[in-house]
Amino acid sequence: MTTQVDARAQIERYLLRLRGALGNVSAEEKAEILSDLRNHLEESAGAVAAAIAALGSPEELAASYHRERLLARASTTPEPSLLLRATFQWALTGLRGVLAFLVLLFGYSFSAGFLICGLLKPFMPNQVGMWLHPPAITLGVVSEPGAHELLGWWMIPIGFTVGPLLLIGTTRLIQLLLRRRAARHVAML
Amino acid sequence: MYLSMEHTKQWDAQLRKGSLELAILASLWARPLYGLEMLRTLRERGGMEVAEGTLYPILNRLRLDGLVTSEWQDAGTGHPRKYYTLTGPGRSRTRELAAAWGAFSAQMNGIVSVVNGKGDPQ
Repeated sequence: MTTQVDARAQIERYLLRLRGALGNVSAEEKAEILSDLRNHLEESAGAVAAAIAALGSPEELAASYHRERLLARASTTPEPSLLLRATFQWALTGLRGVLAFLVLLFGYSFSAGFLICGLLKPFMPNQVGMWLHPPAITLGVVSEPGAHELLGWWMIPIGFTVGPLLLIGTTRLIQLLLRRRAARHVAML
Repeated sequence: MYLSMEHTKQWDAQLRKGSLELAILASLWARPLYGLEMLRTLRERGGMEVAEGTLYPILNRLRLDGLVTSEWQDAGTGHPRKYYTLTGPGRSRTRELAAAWGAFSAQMNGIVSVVNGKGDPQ
């Protein structure tokens, strides 16, 4: 009887730590995950300690869940913050990830740059635009003497076209890269 | 010699890991199973030792992707168990992966048959 109580307490302690380690996973999904593992551990009657050891520490297990979840959602989600997190995690694992992360940062920064310039142009027509001051071309607010603005009022339609296109293009490209990576690494975690 | 065996072991582990998603989906092809049953099926049918800490995160991902569902069922054991079932998209995905695997392994068998065949080249 005592051992049964002990086993139950061990299971609860493990699940409690796992719940904490899962962090910001939605309550519903967390409940599913915990119920998967509760069922698994309860089925391992009599050998709960061994079953817990086989699962690894709650923190390691939670990390596996996080990696798999990002793999599941990031390759199909259009949500930039999730893509950013997934790509950042990828960047920590190697050069390809770093390159993908840089592509994402540049793509999103330029997209935001074009949109902001399009928005500000009507209010600051003489400062905002695409400026040529050889050998550089700058997009944004420039007060450098001698710089020559290239787009004029075209900044507005171009900003509102190129900005969103860059956003969509970068998102699609990163999704594609993440899917290709998932295909290579799908079960290597 | 030791290094070469280590390398073979690593390569074998990579191969197994790469095919794990298909193995897990295929284990559910005939009927819904609960977690321990899946591990047993993979071990008995394919000699594949899958760690529990690997299986459940993958199952959760397959569930998020809508390829697998899970529900509690009382299978006459006195207590309910959580069973995993392939969904419609899960079955199509399994069929696709199995076909890709079949084609790939046939190609590889063709390529390595000279190595595994009898006798050495002159």
